[in-house]
Amino acid sequence: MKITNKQNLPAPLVALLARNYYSKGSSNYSVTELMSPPKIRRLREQYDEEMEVDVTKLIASQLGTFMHGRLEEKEVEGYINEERIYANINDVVISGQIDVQKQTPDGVVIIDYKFVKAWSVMQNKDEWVTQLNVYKWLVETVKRTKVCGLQICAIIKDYSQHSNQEGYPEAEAIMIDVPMWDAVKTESYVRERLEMHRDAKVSHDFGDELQACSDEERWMKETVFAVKKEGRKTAIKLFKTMEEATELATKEKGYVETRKGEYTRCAGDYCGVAKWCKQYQGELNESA
Amino acid sequence: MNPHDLLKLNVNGHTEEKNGLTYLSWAWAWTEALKADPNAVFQVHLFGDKPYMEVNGTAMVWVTVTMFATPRTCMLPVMDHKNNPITIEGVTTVNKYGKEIITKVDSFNVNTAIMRCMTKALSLHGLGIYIYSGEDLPEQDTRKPTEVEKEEVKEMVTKTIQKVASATVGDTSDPSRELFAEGMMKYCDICLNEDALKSYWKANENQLLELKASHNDLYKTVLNHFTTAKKALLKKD
Repeated sequence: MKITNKQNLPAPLVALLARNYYSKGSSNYSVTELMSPPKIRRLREQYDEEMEVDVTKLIASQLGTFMHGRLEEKEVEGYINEERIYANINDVVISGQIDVQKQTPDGVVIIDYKFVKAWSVMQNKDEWVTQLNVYKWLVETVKRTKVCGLQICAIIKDYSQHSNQEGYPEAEAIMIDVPMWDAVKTESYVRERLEMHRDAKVSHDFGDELQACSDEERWMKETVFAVKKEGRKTAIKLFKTMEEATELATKEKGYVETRKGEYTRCAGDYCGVAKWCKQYQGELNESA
Repeated sequence: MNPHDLLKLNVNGHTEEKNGLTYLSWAWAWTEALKADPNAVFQVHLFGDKPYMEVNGTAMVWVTVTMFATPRTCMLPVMDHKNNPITIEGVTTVNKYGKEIITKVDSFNVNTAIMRCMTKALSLHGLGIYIYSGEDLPEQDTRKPTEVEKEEVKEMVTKTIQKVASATVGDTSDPSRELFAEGMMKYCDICLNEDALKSYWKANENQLLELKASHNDLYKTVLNHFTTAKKALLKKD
């Protein structure tokens, strides 16, 4: 991957940010790779040399990585920091690096640090639940140790003391309990994802079209119809259908504004391979 | 002689048919093994003081044959003359003359299983591998096999070859990789549909990654062979 420096940042900072801290050890797939769409992984592998990212885009993720690195150094009795655990399924090795394992008389509590914005913790983050449950499965099946709890330690980067929004985090850092799955559910998930990735690899090797990313994987934002009124900044109400919106707009003597939905991950190129993706490029061509 | 030559050896004159299965003579197979590699050895695995592993009340024997400094392990259930696993405790049946017969694991059937297992492990080194490709075929059946059955046979062949291929993981020497590549291409040719082709490719994912890293040109040749075969199959369909 080529790293650009469009803002002409100082070289030492660029060198620091451009360092690749990510490692999946000697495994075929990391837990996060397993969870991400197979298509993205294949395209990233194929276009690795052509992919380009500006160094400014690495700041957020690297700050998290630096914090992880420093936390790893802090050894405290009863806690295991940053342990990578490997599991072998059908000769394919998957691994997960667990930030913290807190030992208690009832078993281990798995804790994952997240360096996030406040809105992240105000939403249901299904991927956090999945990730921690796969870690739980790794600890239970590989280390044969009972896991009695899963927690996210969310460190809020943009915390505002004055916010009064509903569900806003009450401090700069909070602990969030994550529901636990049973081992059967998690193992089924792991095996299913693994097969998806392996099938995608075969299709890719053979030059076949890759399985399309789902709406969820593309972070789909649906089209909504906002009922607005002259002299008012915000919409009165948002609707999923034009009919409903028109009905209210007529009643309120307002008007309807269509807020077109989009695939946020693709449109923002958060995957890094949007320009090589036939699925997304095909849609762009269709709508052009 | 090398592992490659063992794959090519014709064993047809040294087999016998029993209850629908084809068996290779263990004595002949071992003689050939020693000719190929005078240092060949085989080891029968012990489980406690027993030469078999208990699996749900039945017995499974394990044998490792080491040839050309490479150990390859195989397992085989201890079976009766109908090729059903024999229970350790024993089962009493009444024969057509009204006599009670007790069938259980004994020294005779364990010994038979061990020698068959040794011969099977030799096949992982290449000797008579094609015999095992059809080990579960309904050979007493004289009608012509259906297309579905033919596919099942091919699938079994593929699975057998996967076993051979898996035995070469981690060995990136030229002869081993060439053997692997040749095996891949050879058995690609017997795949009857795209799914079989892909499943075979997928099953050998790790060796293919190794091949790509260590012998990229050879990898490309194998890949090209598969993609050409896939196109031909799609055209045929």
